[in-house]
Amino acid sequence: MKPPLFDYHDPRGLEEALDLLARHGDDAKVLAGGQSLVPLLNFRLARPDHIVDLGRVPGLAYIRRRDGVLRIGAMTRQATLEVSPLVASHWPLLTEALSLVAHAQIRNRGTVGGSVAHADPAAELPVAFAALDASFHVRSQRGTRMIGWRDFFVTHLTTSMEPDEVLVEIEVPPVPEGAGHGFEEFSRRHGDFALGGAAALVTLDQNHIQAARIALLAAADTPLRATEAEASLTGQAPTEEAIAEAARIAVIGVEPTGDIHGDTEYRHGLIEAMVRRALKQAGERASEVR
Amino acid sequence: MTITPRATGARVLRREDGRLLRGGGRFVSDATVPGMLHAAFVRSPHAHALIRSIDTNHAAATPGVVAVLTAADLDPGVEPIRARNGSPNYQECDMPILAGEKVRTIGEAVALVVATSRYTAEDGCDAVAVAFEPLPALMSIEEALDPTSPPIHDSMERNLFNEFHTTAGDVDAAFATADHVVELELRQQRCSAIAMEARVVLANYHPAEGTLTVWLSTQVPHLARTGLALHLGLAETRVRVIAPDIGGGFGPKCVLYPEDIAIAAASRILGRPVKWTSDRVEDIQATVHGREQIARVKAAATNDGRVLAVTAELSASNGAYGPWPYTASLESGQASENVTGPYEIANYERHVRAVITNKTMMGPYRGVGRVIATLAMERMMDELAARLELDPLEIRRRNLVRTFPYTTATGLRFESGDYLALLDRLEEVMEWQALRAENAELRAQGRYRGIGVAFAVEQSAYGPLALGTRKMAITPGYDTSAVRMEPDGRVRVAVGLHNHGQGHETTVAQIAADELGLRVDDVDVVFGDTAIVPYGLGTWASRSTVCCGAATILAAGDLRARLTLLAAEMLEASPDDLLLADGAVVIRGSPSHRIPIADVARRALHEPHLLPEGVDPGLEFTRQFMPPEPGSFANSVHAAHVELDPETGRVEILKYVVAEDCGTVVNPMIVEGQVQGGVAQGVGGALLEALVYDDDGTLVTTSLMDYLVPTSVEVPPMQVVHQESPSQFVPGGFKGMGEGGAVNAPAAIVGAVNDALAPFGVAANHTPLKPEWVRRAMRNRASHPYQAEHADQPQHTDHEKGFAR
Repeated sequence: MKPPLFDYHDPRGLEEALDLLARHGDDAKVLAGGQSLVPLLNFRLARPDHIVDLGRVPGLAYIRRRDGVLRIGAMTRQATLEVSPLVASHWPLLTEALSLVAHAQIRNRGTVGGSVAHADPAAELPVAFAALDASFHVRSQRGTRMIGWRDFFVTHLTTSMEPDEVLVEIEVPPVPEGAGHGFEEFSRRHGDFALGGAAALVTLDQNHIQAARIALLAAADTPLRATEAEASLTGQAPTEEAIAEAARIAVIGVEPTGDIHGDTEYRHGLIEAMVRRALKQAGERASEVR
Repeated sequence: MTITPRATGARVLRREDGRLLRGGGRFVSDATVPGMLHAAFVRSPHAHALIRSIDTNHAAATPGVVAVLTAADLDPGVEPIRARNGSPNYQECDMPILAGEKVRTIGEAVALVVATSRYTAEDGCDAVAVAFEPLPALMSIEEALDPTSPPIHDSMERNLFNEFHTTAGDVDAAFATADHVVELELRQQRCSAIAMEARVVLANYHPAEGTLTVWLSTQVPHLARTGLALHLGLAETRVRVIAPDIGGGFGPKCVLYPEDIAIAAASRILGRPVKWTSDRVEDIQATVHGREQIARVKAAATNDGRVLAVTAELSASNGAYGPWPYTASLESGQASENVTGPYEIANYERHVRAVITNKTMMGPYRGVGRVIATLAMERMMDELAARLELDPLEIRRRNLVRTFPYTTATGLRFESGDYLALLDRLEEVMEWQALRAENAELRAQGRYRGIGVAFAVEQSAYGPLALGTRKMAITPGYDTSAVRMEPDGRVRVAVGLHNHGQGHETTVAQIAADELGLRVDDVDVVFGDTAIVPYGLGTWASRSTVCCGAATILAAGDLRARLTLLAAEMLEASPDDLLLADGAVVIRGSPSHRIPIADVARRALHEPHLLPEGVDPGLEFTRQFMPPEPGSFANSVHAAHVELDPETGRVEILKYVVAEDCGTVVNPMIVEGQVQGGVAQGVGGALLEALVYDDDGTLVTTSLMDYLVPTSVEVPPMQVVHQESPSQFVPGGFKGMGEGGAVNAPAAIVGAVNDALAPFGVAANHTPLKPEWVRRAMRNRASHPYQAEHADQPQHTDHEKGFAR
């Protein structure tokens, strides 16, 4: 369980990093917190010729709010984001999702951008960002582009970033005023990848749901938004029946991949239950806010 | 004068924890020898295949690689490992050190790359090209026993290591007159012990001396020395095994492995020290597995709940080889001895099979055989209780052994105990009746809680005949303690056991201190180096406190006698009037007449010219203790209270109580720690852990992401209460208790889950109970047995059939 030979680069600035990626392209992997890449290297499942370590690139770790928009530097440690009072007060869904990411030790090293770029559909952060309608800023020597989450996540462990591009910032728009949130998942052990989960945001208008967002975890090869289920809730009272019906709609056509920890049928039912719980939690929090 | 309170029974802090918790432990991985090389193994990706060719040229040319060894390169003195067993039906087989012609299990080593670092060694492994010709893999017991299946070992006609059948009493008559018969089939999964430290070997052959020193992560240093000498063609006196701190054993580190021999052989070939550290993938593939077994059991009972007879058909999937020196009869054989558990059941019939499959060999793992034996018996008790509408505790009460000594149908002699009192204590601490009432109320509200109980007797410190009747080539029954007082009056106890988490350094010191009137801190305990400690057989099967504790009492008694003789002269008193207390020899009833023990020690060791006539110099005494036949029997009863989540299938353990009786408790904190650790492994076995092979024979659970060991979050808080029924056959009254936690826990948890599932008409007869199974069981509300739905699933990948009540 030792990685094969690779060239290790530790650029001291972003331009140098982009230069390395421009030169080595497909043969390079970007190292952020190393919580996914290093095991893959040790299992010899990833065999890049070059590793470009962003650990010594300054200016990539920050949490800022400007004009109501949250900007997270890609190298921000997950633990830093988890304890940010700014995030807790304006984007509590993120705080809650982070508490479910693996174990504290992993969050201390793991980065926000690393989790996003790794694009594991069973990871909490991509799902939370899908629920929050986040966008991702990526840089290369060719310039900067902003990719919405729907276009960013392509399939399992694959994003629309080109080999010479690096994720530098996550942009999260403000959450609607008065929104309640919920994030529910189930794993066989504390800290394991969840077998299924859901994030929800609900805003209420009087006693009716004004808008709802539902994002599904480990449901497909990317994070999913259950748009039909979201629409089904608009204008409804947040009753158990309405929520159950939305959860039922949310998993129509969803076919999670089964494995030894849970087959497709189990995971399908589990995700439906998680949607129900997340919506209930979000609805209750939304009524508390009002 | 104050007499130092006895250390036995006190919650003395574990002395080994100071170094272990500060990172000051010395493990094999910490050992380095100048010029040391690192090894990695090329392992089979196939469960069953012929080896057509091995090309090592590219590997040998890889930078950093020093040598690439295959079977053909091992010198002729290296012997395959053959676990010998003289039982009439036992079929022995050779386990190659490196496979040359055929591989019989995934992960079997076919080549060894020695290099300047583990990194370059693995690069070398990548460059070895092995041409395999895959053969059909026999992965299940059913497939392996199918008469049309080819034998996995060419030398055999059937895929059976062993098969035997015995009957005690009149089973047929009991079934003929029974009011009730319950019949169950139980399936237990394969497990890995997952010691935190995987196996490590550092071998240093000294060509000029012709000696071999091996630092080895083993529970049995002397047995390992015998195994190394035997398979390398060396004299035992030329082999030294050092087993320093070991990061967990749990049984698998009692076994001699091909890698142990291969690394030593490589050192001898190269004339340089070679180290191999198993990584986790290798550990899960190539360290012995445990547990996998099917039990078909039947019980005959009367209307008032008395069990008259039991039959058991036990088949273990032993994998491709037998572990040295225990052999493959271990798992199902030991299960068969224990099925009747703590109950008075004179009529018992067993049919036992050790089946050869294309899986990793099974070997000892904490609670060998007894986990499924307990699950089977306790499931039958619960079925009978349900049928007779009795409280699960009541049916057990009606069957528990009441008079001691009691000899079971398989010849186990339970020497002492009070099983009924222990059960009463459990009932009280668990608040059993209140919880049962609460469960019934909550059930009406749609919440599914259940409570389960499991009682087991724990055979420990196997007597030599108990092992001898298994016809193993080595019958390790006794153990040794060497007690030596130094000139400063401190005592060093050298023992044949090995301490790897059990707290023996503290326990043995407590025992010795009490025998010699010393403080615990005045006693040092050494172990784990064949050049330092007396010949002993290591730590396994809960034998250490019984064998080495009693041997320490005997040896310390000899020392005490010598000290008393000397002090009698010095105090001008009769030896009969003297006692050892508070670090001095004291005249009984006249406490001011005393002499510090160090003065007596100096007289014996440094002032031999002043010795009284007829008293020998020296203060070193070595004694062996042979445990009683067929061992010493502790007992314990566990209760679990669980709640099921119908949506996720989660099993939450709400409360867990253990009442145990291991005779004299030397250190309650250590006993509780052993119970808690065992229960943690039992929780893993009940709910989480399973080694899963796919249909091609690939082991898919080779990381800790997929092989789910419980963390502190999954292990419930538990309450442990003690009762002490000392063994009348062991000095000190000790009974071993290292395994019971792991033995009872799965049965207690399965019992609790089944209680919660009762409204659904489904009961689990397998482990682990995955959330998927629980959720499905709860959706089959008293309609279709889940069994039918899944009957066509291959059984070796999934033991999760459910059975309708």
